[in-house]
Amino acid sequence: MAKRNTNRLKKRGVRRREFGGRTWLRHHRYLLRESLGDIIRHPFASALTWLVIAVALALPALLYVTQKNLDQLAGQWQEGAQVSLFLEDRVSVSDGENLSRDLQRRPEVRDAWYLSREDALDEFAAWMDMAPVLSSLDNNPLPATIIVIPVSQTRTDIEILGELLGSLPEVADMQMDIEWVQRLERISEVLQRSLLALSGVLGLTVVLVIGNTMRMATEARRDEIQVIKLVGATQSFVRRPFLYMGVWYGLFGGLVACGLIWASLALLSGPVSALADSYGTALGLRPLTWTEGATLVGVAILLSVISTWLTVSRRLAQIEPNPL
Amino acid sequence: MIILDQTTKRYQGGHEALRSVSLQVEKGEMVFLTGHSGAGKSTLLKLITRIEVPTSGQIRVNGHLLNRMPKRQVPFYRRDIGMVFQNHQLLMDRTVFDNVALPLRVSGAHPDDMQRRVRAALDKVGLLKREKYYPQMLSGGEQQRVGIARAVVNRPTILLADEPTGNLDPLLSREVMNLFAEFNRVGTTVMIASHDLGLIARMPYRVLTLREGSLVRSSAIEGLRNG
Repeated sequence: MAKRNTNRLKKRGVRRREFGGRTWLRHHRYLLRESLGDIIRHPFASALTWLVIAVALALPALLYVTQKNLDQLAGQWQEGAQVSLFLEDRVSVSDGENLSRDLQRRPEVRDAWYLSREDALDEFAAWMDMAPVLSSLDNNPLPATIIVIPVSQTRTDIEILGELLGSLPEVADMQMDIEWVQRLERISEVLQRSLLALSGVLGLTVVLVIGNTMRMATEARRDEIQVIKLVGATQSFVRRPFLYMGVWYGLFGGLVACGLIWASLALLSGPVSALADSYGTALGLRPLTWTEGATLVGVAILLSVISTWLTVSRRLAQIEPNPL
Repeated sequence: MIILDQTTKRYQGGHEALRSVSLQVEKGEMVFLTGHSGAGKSTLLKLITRIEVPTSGQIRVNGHLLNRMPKRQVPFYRRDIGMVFQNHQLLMDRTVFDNVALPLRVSGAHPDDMQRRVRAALDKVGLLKREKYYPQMLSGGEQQRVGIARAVVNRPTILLADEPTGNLDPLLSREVMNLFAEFNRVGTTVMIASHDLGLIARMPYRVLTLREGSLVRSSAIEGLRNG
């Protein structure tokens, strides 16, 4: 008996008509208009939500920009990462110059040049303004030097190269100027970690803010949800307008975040270039690229839609029609 | 066609709203459902609209066994049932047109088709000129008629009404009932829950009376109108 009933149900079935292609497009055009109209009708409430999302996104994004600029700084100071080879006094000027030419040909060396003892003294005197002191010395205390600029700027590569060159018989002593590089690498690492942690926390914030907004939106439209469920709306039909709302929140929140970052960088760029000038480097702040901006907006939309989906689906299961 | 076979509905907490009710409403029939409040009228309508599921017994509507209907099929099933409520359940921030168009929008009707059918439904309830109004701008009787237009716009095979005249004066009540009778004349199965016995007695339709969850009388009172 039971089996026969099921079979009959199957045969007749419930008329299950999902939207076809055209109808689907028309429905989405309608939703697009409706959801935008909703924003225009409640500009303040919408703008407030965008702002919260924007701030939550802008903080990690700003940290990212800082880290990016610091990396760039490390790159610019690469010229400063160098290996100085102090030669034995017995090495003649021509031998020293030959050695520097040999070193130039090594693949891991970008450049190498020879400074004779006199050159070194002149440079030292000029640099430190110490000519009077030096001239009072009987003989030149400075050794001849070969300055080597490595191709690779990571600490380990420089160390390996330094040790290799330091073992040359002509070299009395070797010194690596890599502290700056090291420090910048450390700072960048710290920033990267904080970026990760902060992004996680603030991403969660975005999800919760959107979730709460959507929860209130479903509550505000409780009657409407009940009525359209009664007249035969599917779960996805009821959910769709909220998803559109989520897309707009993400899109505008992301755009406002980009604006906040742009404004902060504009505010910083003057003092930063003044600071850079004082160190004798020309350094401009690098803003967000288009790709990075688009990624930020994309992430905002994605977070918003995921949050909307989860919240609204859960809420819709709870809001059942009860009109009688 | 609506068939209940020893249908019982017990709510959480043990209250038995319907007790082994068996009844059959033929295709194209119009019946009244009466009884005091709490007698089980609302529960019966909730079972037919698949808002509730029976605790035991079977309920079959238009050939669908509702006990076993999967949740995702319910929306499609409901599109074939029109519902009218005592408090009419209109969306106050939508125009009369948009309210009536709601079932068509849900099922993805073409805009031209939608316009035509909404106008036809509004014309039938005599509110064609009010399509751009908002519900608050209408009288109680007019709001109820908008609710009726929304219920029939999809041309459902079954029309259910819960106390549709509950808030109306006798004259308006009579008008509303006549409207239902008209839809019934063109083949729609109609079931109206009402305790307005004076009004029901004047109309030639079968009356199902519920008392404390049980069906006590199922009688035709034809002829009373003239007698």
